Formats: sequence, C-alpha cells, structure tokens
Amino acid sequence: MSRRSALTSFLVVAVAGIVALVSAAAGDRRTVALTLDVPLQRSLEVFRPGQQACQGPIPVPTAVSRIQVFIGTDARPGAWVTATVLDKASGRQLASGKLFARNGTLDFVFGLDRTVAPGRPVTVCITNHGPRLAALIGSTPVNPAVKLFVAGKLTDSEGSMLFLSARPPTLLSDIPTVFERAALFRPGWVGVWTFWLLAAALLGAFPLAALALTRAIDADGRAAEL
Amino acid sequence: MRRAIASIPATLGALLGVVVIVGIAWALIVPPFQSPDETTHFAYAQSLAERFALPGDPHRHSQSTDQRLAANASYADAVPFEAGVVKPGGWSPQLSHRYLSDYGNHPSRSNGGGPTSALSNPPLYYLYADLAYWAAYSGNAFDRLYAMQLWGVSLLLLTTVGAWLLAGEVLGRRRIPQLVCAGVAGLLPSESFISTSVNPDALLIALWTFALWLGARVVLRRARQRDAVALCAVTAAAIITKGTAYALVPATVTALVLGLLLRPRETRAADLKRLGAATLALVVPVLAWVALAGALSRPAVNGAPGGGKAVNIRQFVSYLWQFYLPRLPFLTKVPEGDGLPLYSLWIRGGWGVFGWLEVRMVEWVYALLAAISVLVLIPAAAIIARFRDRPRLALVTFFAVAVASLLVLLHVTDYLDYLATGQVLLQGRYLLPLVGLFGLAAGLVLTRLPVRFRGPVAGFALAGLLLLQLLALGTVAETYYT
Repeated sequence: MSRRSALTSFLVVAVAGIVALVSAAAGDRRTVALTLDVPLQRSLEVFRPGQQACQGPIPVPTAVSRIQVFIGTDARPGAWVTATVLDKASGRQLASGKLFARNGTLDFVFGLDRTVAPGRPVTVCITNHGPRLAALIGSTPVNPAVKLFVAGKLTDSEGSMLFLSARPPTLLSDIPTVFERAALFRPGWVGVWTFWLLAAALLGAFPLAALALTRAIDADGRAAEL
Repeated sequence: MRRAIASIPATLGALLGVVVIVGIAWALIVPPFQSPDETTHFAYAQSLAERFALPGDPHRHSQSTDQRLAANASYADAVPFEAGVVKPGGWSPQLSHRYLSDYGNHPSRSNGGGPTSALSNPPLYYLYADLAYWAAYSGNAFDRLYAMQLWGVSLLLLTTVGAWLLAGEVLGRRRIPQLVCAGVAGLLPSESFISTSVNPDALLIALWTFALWLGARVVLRRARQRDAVALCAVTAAAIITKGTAYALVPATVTALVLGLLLRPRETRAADLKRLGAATLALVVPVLAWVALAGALSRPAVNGAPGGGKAVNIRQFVSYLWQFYLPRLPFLTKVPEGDGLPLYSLWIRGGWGVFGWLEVRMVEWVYALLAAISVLVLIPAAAIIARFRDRPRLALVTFFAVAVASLLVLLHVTDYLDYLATGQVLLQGRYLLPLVGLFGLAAGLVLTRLPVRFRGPVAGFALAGLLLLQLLALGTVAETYYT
C-alpha cells in the first residue's frame, strides 16, 4: 500500500478544503457593525405622535449606513417614524431615515441619507409622526452608559438597536473580534491568546492526522509482509 | 504509567492528539450553557457537588443564585431562542467586569437543588463531571462550567479508544480500518460537541461504545468470564448514567447467550453458572440505584409520558412510516421536524446541529453527509448480508439487537411524548451511542476495497472529518460572535 497515494489524497482534500473555507470566510461580509445586545423582552414607554424616543451615547465602531430598530405600534395601520442620528457632543444631525412602522412587524431597518462615520458617540432619536402610538422594544438597561429618553423623560429601559455597516467587514477580517468576544465569560486563564493558539493547533491537527495515517499504512504494510 | 503510554499504538496516539485539540476547541468556543439542557445538567451537578444531594426538592430553587447570576450575566437564557437578535457578539468587557463585581458578593452555590427536567437521571455522569467542578472549586461559575466541559474531552477520548478497540476486535488488528473507525467516532462534530458539554450523553456514548466492543469480545471469544463481567459492569454503568441505556440490556443478554452457544456443548452447564455470576455485575448496581431512588422517593427512570391517552398501534405505525418514508396522502401528519425526519433528525442532527439545536451548518453540507452515510451504510449492509459463518452471524445479531433496542426505545418514547403533548422530542444526538457501529461500518467497507485504494480513501475520510470540524466550529463561532 502506497504512503504517497494516501498522503496525496489527504493533502488534496485538506488543502482544497482549507482554501475553500478561507475563501468563503473572505467573501462572507458581516452587515452588523454593532448590536446593543438588548433582548426583545417587552414594549418600552409609549411615545405619541409628535414625540421622540432618544437613546445614547452609542459609540459607532465602523461606518454605518443603516439602523435596525424594533418598534411596536398599538393599532393598525401603524405610524410614520423617522430615525435621526445626532452627534452626542454637539447635537448636530449626522443622518436620518424615514419609514412607515406597520403594525405586526417588529424589526425596521432605516436606510440613512448619509453614512455615519465611526469614532464618535451618537444619539439615535426615533420621532413618531403619527397617526398611531409607537414604542421601542427592549428590556431593562443592559449598557449602563446608554440612556433612553422618551418624550423628554429619562426611562429605566433600553431599546434594542443594531447598526449595519456601510462597508461590511468580512468574516475573515472579523476573526480578531470573534476571539475577543469568545474570551469573555470564560475561566480566568482563558484570553484572546487561547483562541489564537487553538486556531493554530487546529491547523496543526492536519499534520498530526497525516502522521496517524502514515503510521497506520506502515503498520499494515509490515503486518502484510509477515 | 509510562509503560501504558508506550503501549499505545502510534496511529492511535496521533489520532488521540487530534481528538484532544478538537475537543478543547469545542469545550471553549461554545458560549456558556449553549448546548441542549446544559442549564439543568449543571444545576444537577452543582446540587450533588455542593449539597451531596440529588435535585428535586420542591421547596428549593431549580438553580442556585451562583448559576442564575452567571446565566443572567451572559444572557444564557436569551441566546438560545433569539440567536439572530441577541448575541454574545454584543457582550462587552464591561458586562464581564460587572459579573465579576457581582460575584464578589459570594452568591450562594448551594440554594439550588429544586425540581429540574433532569431530576430523573441517575447520578453517575454528574459525579464524574463533579470531579472537574471540585478541581475548579475556588473559581467562579464560568471557571467551574468550563472545567467540566474540558473534562468532557476525556470522555471523547474514551469513545475514540472504544471505537478503536471495537474495530480491532471485529476487523482484526488492521490499523487503517481501526483508524477510520476511531476517527469517525472521535471526530464526528455532534459527538465532539455533546462530549464537551455538561450532558450525561457524553458518558453514555463512551459507555455504549465500550459495551459494543465488550459485547463483540463476548461473542467472538465465546463468553469468557472476565469479558462477560466487564460487559455487564459497563452496561450497569450506562444504566446508572441515563435511562436510555436500558436499551443495552437486550444486546448484553444476546451477547452472553450467543457467546455461550458458541462454546462446546459439554461445558455449557458450568459456563451458564459462571455467566449467571457475571450478570451480578449488571444486576447489583442497577438494583442498588433503583433501591436508593425508591428510598429517596424519586423516579429511577424517566417516566413514560402518554398523557393518559390510549396507545393506538395504527397511529404508531403511521408515525414510524412518516419518520422513515414520505407521508402517504391518507396518513395524518406527525409534526416531526422539517422535512423527512430520517434526514432532518437522524442525518442532520446525527452529524451536527449545535447550540440549542438552532445552529446549523450550510444545508448542502448535510446533503453531502447524507450521501456519504448512504455510501457507507448500504455497502456495509450488502457485505453483512453475505456472512454465512456462525461467529459472524452471531456478531451481527448482537449489533442488530443493540441498534433495534435503541431505536425501539427512542421511537416508543417519542410516540408517547407525541400522544401526551402533540409534539415530538427526538434529536439526532440520541443516535450517538451507535457512533462506534457507524465507524465500524466505514472500517468494514474499507477492508473490502482493493488494497491500493484503502490508504487514499482513509486519507480522504480523515481530512474530510477534520474539515467538517473546522466548518462546524466556524459555524458556531460565526453564529455567536459576529
């Protein structure tokens, strides 16, 4: 039995597979730039036509062109709502988008008229233009620094929001972020380094498996000769 | 110890190294409590570790404050059902620091122990998992949880070794088929995932694999006393791990009877007495557990559901038909997963569905794996159908009884669940106790290939399994952390 043909088969499959996986990861673009990670537990404080719900400060990590917000309306047919992104420090309007919040749908994606550049905290205001009541969906505060004001009053709630990238990064370029997140809520000795080491070890598992294969071929070859 | 390590064949040693790497990756990459029922299994193990008491006290919380704090901090309860919206990807170091700060208030670890869905499980697995819990005792809940998950790598190794021994016993000491059999058992993504979760299935799978090996020894070596005792002891250990292992009893009895029948007729009476003594290794531990459970007024096995509704044989046949074959127009639809359950549960779930079953690889991969399963199982069945000699027919009978018993138990339980609740609860991981036999089928087919093809096919299989692991781990990471 030939070691060479077995190793060739192993290598062809392994290399082709790894190249395919890396290519797929390089082509797989991540649209979510930031999620506040607020669970959709309940409807928050209602804001009436003409009133606003404003939430911030929110640090935007990359350029953002869309915002996904979860809104409930209490009756058909819903309400016209505008999302406005304001610079937290100066209050200057950076971008806005408008849509009709139809009753029965919860997640609404606002396309913004301008891309919001990264690097500064923003406040997102949702304005209800009527004719119905509206309320953000969210939970009790998850991010202590983020405050939600509804009709000018500070609430003890936080709305669920996702910021969608203007230039979505690829899954491959997101690997450092993945490892940073995976290192949270782990034993104290686990850090980002652990996942880099594991990634290297997983690649190292291929030569180890090839070693197992060649040793098996050698052993069976010797047994056949006896 | 050094001599024991030196006696491990180089092929197996290298494979175990691969399995350790993959196992550690699984143990660490999955977010806390994100495998089926892990919250209840952790609560059970913690109750044993902290109070030396089985859970189920109706006056206590089902989970300790220590566990609730960790689960709430990491949104463990929100993630499984809203993975598309609430992701650990949104975790921040601040949330982690807040947990550590709250943990500084010393939340109670011992005020759990109330009723959970796992309370009817026997305690053996939880005691095994608690060795890791105690080893990490000074740490917080995440330290202890991940210590238990990492400890699960040892069970993954046991399953791999069991499959290696099984192939060696059945196919002879041929390293390539042994490597393929053990590689399948140790590198199947669902097996890696479950073995490194806090879940009694992890130990159950290892014990079933060893029981299949020992049963093969009992049959092929004509029921030697020590093999019979070992088989009975492993079967008992499996039963004290999870009630599903009662399905092993018919196979164990079959192996003992067949091994006995293969012995010389004139010694059978004496052999029967010896085997009778061997069965004490099965009966005594199981009866001890049943007696202990009775004394504690708790169920020794999961109660059969049914909701008081009468079992209808025609309905059961209809259910079975729809599980394995397309539904005929006149049959009432059974809500078993999406699509044909044979595919959606056994194939997809058997190869790998993760998290709380909501994390899947891309669909075409499952279609490919279904094709590979067919390419292994149908030729294996064709090879087995040509067996004519008594020892091999006896061996096939033993394996067939093991498979049939497990399937009958799973389907009857599932049908009773359906009667009681209108829903079905089968999952692909319930087939994992048979992973050794699937590996054996792959090894058997390999032995029938022309010699020049065996190495390349084994290389293809090993590389393919590792790639599948990368894809599965990547899918889990992508789902939770992007």
